[in-house]
Amino acid sequence: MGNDSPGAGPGAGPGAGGVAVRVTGLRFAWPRGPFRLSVGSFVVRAGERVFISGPSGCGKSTFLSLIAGILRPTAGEISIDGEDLSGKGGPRRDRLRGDKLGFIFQQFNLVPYLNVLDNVMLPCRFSKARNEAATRVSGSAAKAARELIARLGLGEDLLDRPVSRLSVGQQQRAAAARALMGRPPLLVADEPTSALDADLRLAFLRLLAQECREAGSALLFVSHDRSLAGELDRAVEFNDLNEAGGAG
Amino acid sequence: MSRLATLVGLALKSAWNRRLTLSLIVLSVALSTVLLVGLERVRGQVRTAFVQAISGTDLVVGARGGQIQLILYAVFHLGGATNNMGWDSAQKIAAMDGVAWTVPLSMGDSHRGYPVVATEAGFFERFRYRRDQALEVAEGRPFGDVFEAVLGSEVAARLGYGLGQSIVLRHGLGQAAPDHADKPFSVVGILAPTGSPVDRSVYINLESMEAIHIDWRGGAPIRGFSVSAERARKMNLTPKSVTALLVGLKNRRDVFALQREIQSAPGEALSAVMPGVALDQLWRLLGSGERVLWLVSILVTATGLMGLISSVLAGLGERRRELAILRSVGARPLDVLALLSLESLALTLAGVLMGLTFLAILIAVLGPVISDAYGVAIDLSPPTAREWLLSCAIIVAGYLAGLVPAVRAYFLSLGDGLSVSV
Repeated sequence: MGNDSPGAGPGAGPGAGGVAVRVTGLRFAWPRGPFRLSVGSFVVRAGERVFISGPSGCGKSTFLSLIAGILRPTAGEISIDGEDLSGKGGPRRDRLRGDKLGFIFQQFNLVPYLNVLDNVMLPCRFSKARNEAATRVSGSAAKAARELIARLGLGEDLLDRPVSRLSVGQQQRAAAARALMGRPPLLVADEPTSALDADLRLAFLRLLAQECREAGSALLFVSHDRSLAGELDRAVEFNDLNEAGGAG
Repeated sequence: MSRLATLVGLALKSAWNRRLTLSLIVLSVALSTVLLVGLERVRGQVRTAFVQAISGTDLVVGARGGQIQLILYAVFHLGGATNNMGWDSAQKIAAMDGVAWTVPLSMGDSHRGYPVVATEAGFFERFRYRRDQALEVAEGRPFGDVFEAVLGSEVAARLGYGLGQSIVLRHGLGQAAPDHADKPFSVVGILAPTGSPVDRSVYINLESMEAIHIDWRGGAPIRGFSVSAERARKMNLTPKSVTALLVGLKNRRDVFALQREIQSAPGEALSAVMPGVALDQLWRLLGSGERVLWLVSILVTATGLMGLISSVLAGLGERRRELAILRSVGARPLDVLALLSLESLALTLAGVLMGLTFLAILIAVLGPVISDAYGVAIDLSPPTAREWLLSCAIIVAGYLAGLVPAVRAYFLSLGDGLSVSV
């Protein structure tokens, strides 16, 4: 199976089911800003774990917002798990994101007024598909959440603890558990380790990668820390991806 | 779990998490509710007490003059005394076709500031207040003989009188007026409270009124001439005039015809007033003060709701991160809008319920005090339709006020997406 499918035109056709992310001819510019993003082709196969590196401010977050369906491309196509995002309206993109994506942010990942368990179960509240998937695997969403929390090394005693009393490392692992709920086809992690101590970063990445493999989810791991690049299936330099070359 | 249930759950948990800040908002909504609904309650009951101070009487007849003056004097014993009407006129009206009963009232004397009303025993049967409520004698019996008095409940309670108490009437309403010390009255009955002017009146029969004035002329005792109580008893005590006549009709529909007939009858010039209509007019006249109160309490409510807007808006900055997280798990911007407006709705709802509870407690505690002090009964009763309507109006207004921060959150989350720099 080829890593890339360069120049794949619209309607990429066969094998789409085995593709977690397919970006084709993507162009984006902020309405009044100078920044331009241009990605000719980018594909993440199902279950593939990709490391994207690049300095801060190079447009990685914008790229992730496009993949998440928060931003709409000026031109080109993005499909997630075979479903085209770019042609859909806001609510349908929101739904697709809830169904198919798990997110881990740099920090402040958790809703402050929910305990750990409720935070982890959040995707099942907004996505029927995720709820059904979690129920199929573990019997119930709550059970799936408990299992994931345990697998990510968070003790039973943390389940109903207010998230403000968690360490940053614990918060990030709870966020990973939430992102993995219901085994979405794609996990997007935007600098999830940069708030962690150096010795925890590698452990976190390894745990995340392992759990993604377990869940069969593809992983887009974005970081400016190139020392972690070797841990995943493939590493991509964002500036190589962006033909517009960032600002300009 | 449905989307709405999810959002309600989130809104409640979020609100609970900020309960300290939000409890102040709830409190201010509660106080607005107490003010607005409480005012409505008091207004409603004062109006009832006022407009229904007399019921069951179809016409009040008196000497020709101002309608409102006649009602004020005959029913509330307020304002300047009207001229008397002749006893023969009263007799003529009693004999008219269509008239079922008449009860004459004669006023002008007082006892320690409380007006004395001379009437007939029929008064206790015929007089009605509120919705057709009859007077009840709580202690003793109605007056029978001359020099017997029946007290309204407030008179008895305030002056500490019981049955058998001897009282002296004073001529006129002033404290400096001469009294009728030579002809004391004995209290034979005390009426049950009514929340109407009856509570503040002393009732005697018409003959007693004649008897105490038998040796008077022109508002003062006749010098060098006095008649003892015993002798007065035996004299002719038929009144020559009365202040007003309460008239009940056989058929209510004849009221306009009879009103015309009485007012246009040859002889003495009379006024016939429909008490309900006149009191209603009078209440409307007094309505401007009521409207000012309304305006003030609506402003207070608006202030409370502005507090709600501003504190929810102020809290929004800290919540942008949280909203971005919700969007990352599939919440739509519209869900964010719903979440925020549900929160405001919950806050107002809690505030209104709290306010209604406060009000009930307040009425339970202060009701008897107000009733004692002002003679207005404020009942602890379930909210009236108008009060429910008001409460709902506050809730709707709170919801609409909550839309301001909610719409702001909608646009924030639309712009922020998933990336908020905290």
